[in-house]
Amino acid sequence: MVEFSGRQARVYSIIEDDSEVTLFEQFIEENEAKFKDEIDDIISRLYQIGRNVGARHSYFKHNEGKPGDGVCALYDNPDRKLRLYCIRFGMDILILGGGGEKRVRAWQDDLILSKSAKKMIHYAQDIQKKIDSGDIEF
Amino acid sequence: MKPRKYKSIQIGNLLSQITPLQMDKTKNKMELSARIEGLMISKGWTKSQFAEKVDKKPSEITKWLSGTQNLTIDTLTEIAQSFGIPLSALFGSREIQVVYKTPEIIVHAPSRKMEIPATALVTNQYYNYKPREYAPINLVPVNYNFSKQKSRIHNG
Repeated sequence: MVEFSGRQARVYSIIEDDSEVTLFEQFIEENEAKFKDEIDDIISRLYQIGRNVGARHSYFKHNEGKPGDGVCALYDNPDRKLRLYCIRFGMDILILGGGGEKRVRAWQDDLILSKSAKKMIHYAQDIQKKIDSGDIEF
Repeated sequence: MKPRKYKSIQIGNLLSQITPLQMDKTKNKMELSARIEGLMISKGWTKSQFAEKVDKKPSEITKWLSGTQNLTIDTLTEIAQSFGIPLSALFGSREIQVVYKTPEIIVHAPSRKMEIPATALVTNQYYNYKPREYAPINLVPVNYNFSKQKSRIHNG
């Protein structure tokens, strides 16, 4: 995504077969009206990650997926309502997924978050396989 | 398959609505947290050890390092004091050189396997207050002498 990618990190998202837009754009579309301030904050942080500071481990909440798969969520304070799932490959590569409103403590208990998290877990595994086989190179 | 460049009008529009002031606030918070983390790593402290030094819970340190917190002068003073630096040094633009201490580094050379002693240091030469989470993997020994206990390792 050229809007975010810079000298510190390259930022990607995923376009599914049946869609015209990325998972991240879908996330924006679904939540912009209700949580404009939070969306602006997320956009600013992603911009800074790509351009100035990199996708540092501490900017994310980890262990959202399966051990070692890189699925994480952009750090959100308890008072914030939105959760955005990502796949992180070190400090240099970040793949944005979807997410939604945090209504419950664990994503497994929420239909929308659960769908987004599971999707990212699936894509993380798929990407890793394709990297290993040389089908994907960054 | 290669990832391709993707330009989003929607995100471009949203970015253009963010004021320079708002963007600067985000930038400063994220850079400051990166700087604090860099200092923590350069001291060789874990989050828990850092938390102990400033009498906080490790979860509080996680928040500080998340780049989302609006830290007060009081908190920043406590942080600076724990590192033994003046408050102003937290905002400086001077690069921090991060030194990783490693218990043992094994370097595979074409002709032989060399064990570099525990005193070996890997210096991170080019990261601008942005320490990596792990030591660089391409370690090239320079002028390694088995008779000496110390050697220099360059980032590959």
